[in-house]
Amino acid sequence: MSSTYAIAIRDFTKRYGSFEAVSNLTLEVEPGSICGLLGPNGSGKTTTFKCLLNLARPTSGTMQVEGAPVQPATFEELAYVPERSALYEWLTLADHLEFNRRSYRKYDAKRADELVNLFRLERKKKVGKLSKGQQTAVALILAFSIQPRILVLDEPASGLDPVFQRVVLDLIIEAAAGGATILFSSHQIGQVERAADRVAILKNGKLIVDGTVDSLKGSEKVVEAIFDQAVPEVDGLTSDARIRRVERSGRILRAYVKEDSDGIARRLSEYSPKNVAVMDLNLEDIFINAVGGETALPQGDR
Amino acid sequence: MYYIELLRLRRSFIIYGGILGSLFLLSMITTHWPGAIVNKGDSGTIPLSVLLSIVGFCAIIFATAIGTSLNRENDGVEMVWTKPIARERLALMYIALDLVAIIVAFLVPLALAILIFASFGLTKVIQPDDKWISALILTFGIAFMWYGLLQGLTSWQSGRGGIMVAISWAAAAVVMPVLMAATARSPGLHEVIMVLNLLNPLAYLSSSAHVQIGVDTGAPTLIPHDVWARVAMTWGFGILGSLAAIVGWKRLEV
Repeated sequence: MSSTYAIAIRDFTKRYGSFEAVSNLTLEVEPGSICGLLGPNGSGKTTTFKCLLNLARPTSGTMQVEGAPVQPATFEELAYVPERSALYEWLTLADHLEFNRRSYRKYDAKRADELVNLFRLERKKKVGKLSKGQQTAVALILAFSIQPRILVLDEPASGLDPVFQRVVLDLIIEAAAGGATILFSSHQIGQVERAADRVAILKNGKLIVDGTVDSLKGSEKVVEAIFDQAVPEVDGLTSDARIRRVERSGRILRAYVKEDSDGIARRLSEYSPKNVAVMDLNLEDIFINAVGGETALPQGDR
Repeated sequence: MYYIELLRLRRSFIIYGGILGSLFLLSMITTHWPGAIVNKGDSGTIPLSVLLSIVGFCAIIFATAIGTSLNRENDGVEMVWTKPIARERLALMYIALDLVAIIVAFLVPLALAILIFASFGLTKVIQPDDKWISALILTFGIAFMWYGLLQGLTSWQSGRGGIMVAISWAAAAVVMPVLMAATARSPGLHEVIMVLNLLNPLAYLSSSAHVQIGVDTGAPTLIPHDVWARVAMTWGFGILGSLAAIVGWKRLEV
């Protein structure tokens, strides 16, 4: 039931004219968990966030937060960090904090002070004069200073250096440990692997991978067969539903499999390879296999 | 929730006050400079309705300058739309604050004008006449109409607010009067222009059927001669424009 999920997206489709940005997406996030949404640029991550938060209207499907569609009151407990800065460039950080103080009952000035010091920002400096990374930090300070139950973070480490990327990761993990639910997107797959309980991968608006990090790592493998001579034609290998992708390079054949890696290894053994091995994948490998090596130049997600 | 609009208005008032304050100081210095000759006269009076219309023009300029407040949010609207307040309520707060600001923008030049007269001991030349109440309400109506039309035209767009303000001034002060005069002898086309001219806030300043912004175009208009009818129309357009702005803003997607 929807009430058991902090975030429930069901059969969500968003079209812009004839272009389908997201197709029939279903994604449910447990309370207190961290869900990483991955995908190449233009895969529909930001569109999903915007529709979830009522910033855009879904073409079809339902989107709920804590069992109900997003209402203005939902934002007392939900903080959003957009991918693109939505800050007022002509205002200072102090002005933004004051805006937050006036807007939220749960605004925590002490927590805000801690975060300002953590990111080493000047309160009196106009936001327009801050670097992209510092602007991201301001958005994060605003989000975390209201102690929300739900955080939706679109590229929350965008523009930050590795030290502050780690700080953001710690903030996310800390918030989840305190009971918050986090849905976030990132191109830093290592961060997602470290923080997320669960990963969903979008490609061309479709959900192509969804599962816990451990289960994905447990099921997604690469089966590598090395032959003495050229790689033979293996009947039906590329159309095998258990396989995401097949790579041939000289005498080496690699099959990136979603499930039953042992079965695939046995099948390849029938072609008398010199050696067959089943190897683990990290999340980055899983991501690249899932999206088929297709990525776009960074130009803002839709 | 309306804190950002308060800060935005503060910034607008700094500019507005700076310009008016400079003009005030300039007029005080030039007229009170040793040796300056000021003909105080002794028989003339200034009807209060005329003074209100003149200072009201400053408020009209100010109203157009702040008339795109919802549009200005749209570049980073995620910031306000993810706050715990309904969009229409927030938009209403912005509009209400802006209206208060327009009133203040009217009072500031009025006070400065009275100060200038007072510095010569001439406050008594300002005489309340029988038109001052209608002039006051009409001037506010014109300011509100222009403000509402700008909000209605821009609230659902991203950017382009400043351009729309500039276009609205060019259209109201130049294009429409010229078209009214140029089409005076072209029946059909002139009727279209007359209808369009109903949306020209400046057309309501004139009490004559033929006069546009003080210039007699020699062409009839649909703007009613009766001042209270003009008051009703300007306030009506202001309300309609503001309502359209709220609906447009609420339906905007980012």
